[in-house]
Parts: sequence; structure tokens; C-alpha cells
Amino acid sequence: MDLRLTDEQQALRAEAAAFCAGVRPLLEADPEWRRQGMLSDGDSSAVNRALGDAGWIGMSWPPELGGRGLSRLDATLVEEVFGYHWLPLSSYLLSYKTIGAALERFAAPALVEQLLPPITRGELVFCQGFSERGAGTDLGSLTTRAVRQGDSFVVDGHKIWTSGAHLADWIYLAVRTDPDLPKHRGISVLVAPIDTPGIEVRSFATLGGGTLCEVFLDAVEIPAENLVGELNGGWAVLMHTLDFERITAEKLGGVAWLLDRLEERVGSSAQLARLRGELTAARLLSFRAADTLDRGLPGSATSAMAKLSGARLMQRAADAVVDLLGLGGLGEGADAALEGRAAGLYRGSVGSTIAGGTTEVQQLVIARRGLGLR
Amino acid sequence: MRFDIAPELELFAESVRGVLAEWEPLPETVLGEWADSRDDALAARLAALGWAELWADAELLGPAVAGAVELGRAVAPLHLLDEATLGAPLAIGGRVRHGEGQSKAAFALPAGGLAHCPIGEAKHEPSLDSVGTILVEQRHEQRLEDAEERWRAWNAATVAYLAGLADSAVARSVEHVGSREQFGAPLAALPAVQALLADAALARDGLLLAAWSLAAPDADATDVLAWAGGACREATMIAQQAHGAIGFAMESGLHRAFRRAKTVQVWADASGPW
Ligand SMILES: Cc1cc2nc3c(=O)[nH]c(=O)nc-3n(C[C@H](O)[C@H](O)[C@H](O)COP(=O)(O)OP(=O)(O)OC[C@H]3O[C@@H](n4cnc5c(N)ncnc54)[C@H](O)[C@@H]3O)c2cc1C
Repeated sequence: MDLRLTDEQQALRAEAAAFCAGVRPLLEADPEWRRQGMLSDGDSSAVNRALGDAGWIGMSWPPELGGRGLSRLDATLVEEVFGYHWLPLSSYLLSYKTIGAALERFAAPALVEQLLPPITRGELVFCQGFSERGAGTDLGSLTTRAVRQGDSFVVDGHKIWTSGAHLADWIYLAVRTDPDLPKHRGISVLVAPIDTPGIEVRSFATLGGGTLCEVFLDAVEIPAENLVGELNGGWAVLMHTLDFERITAEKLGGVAWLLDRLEERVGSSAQLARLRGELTAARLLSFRAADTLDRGLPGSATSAMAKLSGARLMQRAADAVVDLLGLGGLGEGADAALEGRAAGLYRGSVGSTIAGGTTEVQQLVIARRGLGLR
Repeated sequence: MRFDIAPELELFAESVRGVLAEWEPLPETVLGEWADSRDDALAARLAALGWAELWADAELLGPAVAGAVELGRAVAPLHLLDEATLGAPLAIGGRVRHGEGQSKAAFALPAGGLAHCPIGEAKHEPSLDSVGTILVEQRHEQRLEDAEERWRAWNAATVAYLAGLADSAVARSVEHVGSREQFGAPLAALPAVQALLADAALARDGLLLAAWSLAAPDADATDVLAWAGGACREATMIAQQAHGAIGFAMESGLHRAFRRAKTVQVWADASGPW
């Protein structure tokens, strides 16, 4: 093993850091950015446009689709830098890192050519409609129904906890296309513009300081060519999507920022060093997971390790940093200690062990797929 | 040793519970903005039950514990603890909680001292929780003679409040996992969920016993107070985890206990002799 970054990777990260410094005024002007405690999960159309303009979205896609032809690992290394600078990345993460990965692999060529280039330009933003009231961890029990009628599917149902639906241009939907098949086999994936008649979005506030949405689907007509992957073969598409979602290097970048600022303020200590050690392991687990996907190897267990290590570190780090700062650590806002980020992360990181599959689910994936336990 | 609660203390707890059952917390403000959940009307209703001057008599530590557990269960505002024990909103190192509009604060002094000082010019500090933190200067000291008794009551009430918060987290979680179904059965049937809630119950029971141990007039609270915040924090974190995304939505209200646990922990640490 040689876990050092190449010169090219270091140069890429330096370029990313310079970009982040340039968009800082956009961030400062955004009140949600100040209270957003869920690292890098903030929403900002302006930042997403800027990322697109500068060629940062879709780095691992080929140049003819608007990408840079780099690897997912390279993209992950850059995402960590974005996280260090607290870029609100929700649109980027959903549209490129997660849903984009599934489109690239499973969508028909015409759909790929239609959707990927505007994603890279920051002009097309996706949201992800998997979860339902009755289908959280038990995603396979989802009931949103899609019935084939002529050249279309007609979709009825209700999605919830949909990040960024209020800003999205398109929605990526997990639907049941055959209720008679065993539950994981009757699922398909469709994509549709969010302004398709019959789609309604409601948003509500979260403990992170941002929003989540619910999406109501009432007789929504979606052309059959918007099917992603095989009919009734959606489960494989969903699992592929999650393997990418669970690599969260951008969150680790935010933790690194917090620990750096803490050290400047209170000096080094054994407790801080332990957190840095944990961060080192979590980063490497993330980078390994990205490399595993680059090489087309089964990635469920390595991605689950990346996710679990990062999620736990965020919660532990937020808790410890507030403690080390004392009463000042409870403060929020620009004038507070560490710009209020410790308190923000304390509340925001609650979602980290839930979103994208809970801790208990990651443990099951590691045990079953990684260790072969049954 | 007796592990049951004396009937008169049960009665007192019940009457506090009755008042709190009718109480509605103030609506949540936007996270990250300054907010004060002070509720003087609630304070008056509790004072009518005898929830005031709890420090004055060592015999009153039992009611302080019994009542504070109920306040914690309801995530009631913290000035109710501070004013009944320290005689004014708590101030540590230039920060006062729930001090807005009050004439004086109870400043923690080194070596367990306490002073009531007028609150002068104040600046709002937005905080993780709606405890109305203001930044002030300590102007002059009126050292209180009865600081030790007051701190003793505050320590006992604080640990009891944390026990109540943990209990509310466990109770809500038990109810939730009993009714939410995934994989065709209640979450309560899953070993992983059972293990989570078992840990929360462990923290809660430890906190309740530790709180009652402080009802004895000669008990030393230092160690218990240093441990209690973290234990309560863990119980509230587990409640968040067991609720999944539902608990992350502000409208669930679950976050109130979660944010309060950390807030009480950090203030308790800052009050300690470290
Ligand atoms: C910030 C945030 C953003 C999100 N964004 C999206 C999004 O964009 N799109 C989308 O579709 N969804 C999204 N979600 C939803 C997310 O995928 C679900 O919250 C998650 O899958 C858990 O489901 P649940 O919340 O229903 O919890 P539940 O499934 O009800 O779980 C509650 C508790 O039970 C435990 N549990 C359940 N089943 C098992 C089991 N078999 N073994 C052990 N323990 C178990 C869980 O681990 C958890 O502790 C988001 C959630 C959050 C918090």
C-alpha cells in the first residue's frame, strides 16, 4: 500500500481550496448557511451554479458528458476539501455523487445524454424519493405504485424525508411496479421533472437547521423511457446508489476544520489527538471505499464502513468539542466560539447516524457482506 | 436503604406533574437564533405548590429532587431550578441563562461561593438551546452566606432534572418502538433496538438513583454531577436514534430533551470545581 496523495491529486485539492475561497461571499450572504449544522448538507442554488461553472460537478464523468475524466477517488478527495470549507453541497451530492452514479451505470444512453451534461453545469438538480412513512429502514416495503398505461407509468404515492425536493428540478423515484412479486423484486426506479403535473412538495424544518421535504404523487404520468435500469430490477439500482451515498468524505472535511480551529484555540491535548486519529482512520476508510467502487468491486461493506466511521466521528467530535470549549461551545452564530459550528454540528450530526441508512443497518451490512455472518 | 419514594413526596411530584400537564412550551424559534423559554406564569403556578426557596431547609431536598424530576420530564425551563435554589438566574463567567429582564443574577464564585449581582448591560448570545443566554459583566459582589446550602439544592435538583430528561427520552422511545412497524413487526421486537433502549434505561435508572442519593443533606454531589450530564446526553441521543428521521424533524419536539441535556451538562461542568 502507498496511501500518499499523488502530485496531481494535491494540485487538484489546492485548486478546489482556491475555488472555495472564491465562493465565500456567497456563503456569508446566506442565513441558512450560518445555522446549518449538518455538515455540507446545506442547500444553495448559487453555490451549485458556481460549482458547475467552474467544472467541479461530475469530475469522474467523461469530458463529452461535461466531466473531467477523473476517478471517483479523485472526486472524493475534492469533496473532502469542499467539506472543509463548509460548502453547502446537498445539490451536488444528490445529483452527482449519488443519483448521478446510478444514472451513469443504469440509465439508457439517451437519458444519460439528456441528464448528465446539465447536472455537470449545475443547471439540473435531483432529489431522491426512496423513503416513505412506512418504509424507512425497511425500504423494500415501499408502496408508491407505478402502473404502466401505454407509453407511460402512472404513479401514486407519498415520499418523505426527501432532501432538497424544494430546490430540485428532477426527482429520482423508487416505485412498486409489480405488487405480486416478492417485495424486493417488484421495485423499479423512475426519474421525472419535479414540475410534472400531480407532484407536490412540502418542506419542514429539521434539527440540523435546514429542511427536509415530503412529496405527494397523485396520478403522475412519467414516460416509460424514464425508467432507470430494468423493469422490476430497481433494488439493484437502489443499492448501487446507496454505495455511493455512504461515502461521506465531505463530512470528514468539516470535522477536520473543527478540530483545526479547536487546536488553534485551546492547544493540543490527548483528547484532541484521539479525535484526529479517529479522523485519519475514517478518511482512509472513505478513500478506500471510493477506490473499491472505481475498480468495480462489490462496495457495500466498504461503503458501510466509510459511512459508519464518519457518522460516529461527527457525533463524538461535536460532543467533545463543545465540552472542550465549555459554555462558549454552546453558542451559535458568527460571533460564537468556532463560529458556532460546534453547537451546530452537535444538533446536526444527529442525522448522520440515520440518513443514508442507520448505524444499525451499516452494522448489518458490514457483518453480512463484509464478514459473511448469517 | 429504601428504594421506594415516600408517599408525601409522590404526592408532591403528582401535583407538580398536574401543573406541567397543563403547560404548553413556547413555540420553537428558528435554530441558531437567540431564544428564551422563560415562563414566569409557570413559575408562579409552581410557587403556589411550594416550588420556591427550596435551599432554605435541608429537609426540603426530597421535594427538590421529586419536583425537578418532573420538570426534566416536561423539559421545563431551567430558570425554575435556578431561582428556587440559587435565588436568581444562574450566571457563570459572564454568561447568564434566562437573565433577560431580571434585576439580578446568581454568580458562581470560585470555591463554591455565590453572589447576587445586578444585571447591567447585556448582549444576547444565540445558543444550542432556548435558555436565553446573555453576556454580562459582573458588577459588584454581595457574597451570600448560605451559598453551600443553595448549591447543594441546585446540584440535587440539576441531577434530578437530568434524570427526568432521560426518563422522558426512554418513555417516548418505548412508546415509539412499540407502535412503529418495519419488516412486518414493531421495532421493539428487533434485538438491536432492544439493546439501544436497554442502554438508555440503564442511564435513566442510574440517574434517578443518583438524584435521590443527593436528597440526603450530607451528600457530596461533585462526582455525580460530573457524570450525570453525559449519561443523560447518551439517553437522549439513543432516543433520537430509535426514532429515526421522525425525531430529526423539528415538529416531533423530541429534540427539546436532546438539546437540553447537553446544555445542562455544559452548565453543570462549568459550575464544578475544575
Ligand atoms: C437528514 C436526513 C436526510 C434524509 N434524506 C433522504 C432523502 O433524500 N431521500 C430519502 O428517500 N430518504 C431520506 N432520509 C430518510 C432515511 O433514509 C431514513 O431516515 C432511514 O433509512 C431510516 O428510516 P426511518 O427514519 O424510517 O427509521 P426507522 O426505520 O423507523 O428506524 C428507527 C430505528 O430502528 C432501527 N431499526 C430499524 N430496522 C432495524 C433492523 N432491521 N435492525 C436493527 N435496527 C433496526 C433503526 O436503526 C433506528 O434506530 C433522510 C433522513 C435524514 C435523517
